[in-house]
Amino acid sequence: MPEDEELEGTTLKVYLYMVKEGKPVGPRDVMRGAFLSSPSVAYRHLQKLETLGFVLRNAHGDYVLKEKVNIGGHLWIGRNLVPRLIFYSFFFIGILSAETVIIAVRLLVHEPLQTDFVFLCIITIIATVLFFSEGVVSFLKLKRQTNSGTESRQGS
Amino acid sequence: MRFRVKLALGSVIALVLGLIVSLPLLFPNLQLTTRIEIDVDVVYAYFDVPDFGSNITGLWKNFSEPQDYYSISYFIVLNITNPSDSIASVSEFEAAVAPEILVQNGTELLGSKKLALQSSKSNSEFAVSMQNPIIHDVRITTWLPGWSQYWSPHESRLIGLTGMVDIWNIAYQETLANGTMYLYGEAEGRPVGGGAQTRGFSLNHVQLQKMGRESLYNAILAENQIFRIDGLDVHIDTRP
Repeated sequence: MPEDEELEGTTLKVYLYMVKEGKPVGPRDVMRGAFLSSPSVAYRHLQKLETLGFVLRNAHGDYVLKEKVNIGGHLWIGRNLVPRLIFYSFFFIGILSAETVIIAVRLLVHEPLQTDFVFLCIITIIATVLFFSEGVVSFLKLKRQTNSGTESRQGS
Repeated sequence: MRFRVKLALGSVIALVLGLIVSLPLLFPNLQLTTRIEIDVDVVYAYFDVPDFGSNITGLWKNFSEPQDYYSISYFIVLNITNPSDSIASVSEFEAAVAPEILVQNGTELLGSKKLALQSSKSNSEFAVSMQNPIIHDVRITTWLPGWSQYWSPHESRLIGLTGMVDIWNIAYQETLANGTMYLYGEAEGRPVGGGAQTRGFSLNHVQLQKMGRESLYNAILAENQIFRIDGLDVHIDTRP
């Protein structure tokens, strides 16, 4: 999977729309689907994607997705882009679960909790909350971007 | 729907990875659920008030106010048993002698009624309080030449604590002169290979036999038997 370095803003929005559609699209489809002001704006971004090598033009003049590219800080799940931060937060939830079991066991057998372990738990909680909240914010932001296209299409 | 399933699966994989990473921390703590039991009994207590003014022994001690202090040498034997099916590592021993001893074990109060009346109930799981103790000997030892801290399953061993202390006259009068006292013994250990720390203890209110300057409580030796002391370990031999 090729790496993306220039995919951002409206170009990213167009690219995400194409991934979601999963079929050849023309500038007018992109304009409606990605909620752009005119077909020429859609055309310009499609051309940029073609120059970057992410899309191809077929015999009918429509644009086809070449292959999915890595979007920095995100993972593809099917046709959806999910922030990696969400998975990092689940990794820390796993560690936090183990720490919770340790606290429960030690309290159950009346063994004291060591100060450094308590600090470790606090750090894990902070990491979990930060990764999860940042991940959710990023996920909702992406969802808003892709949904704005769908909503406009439904409206038209 | 497929997206949600894949998202959930990815999250579960990340969570499991987190759990795997914490296994080195989790595993020894899960072992804490393994417990052993330790039974303790104070079976022998010997006290002597050495004559520090004696010309025969050559011992001499200058007390500025002789009537306020007594020097006492003691030998206390704990019978420690591991009734569990696993090997126990026992390395902490404690013996205390006082006119009043109270043990709070959870909600249960054992021993001195006088101290029980005075005590304010605390939330502590285990606490020992004593008044005018004459001896409070605590030994924490994991290694001594020729001594093993390991108790085989169902093994009993005798541990001897000996020493000499200076005590106040009031404590002497309340215990050795009077002849009645509380004897407290405690041992702590854990299963070999990891496990929770376990405490065993005993508290007896006893009457001592007085023999001149010496006092004795004996619940183990028959008339034809003597102790053989081997470091902390004490063995019972037949008199020659």
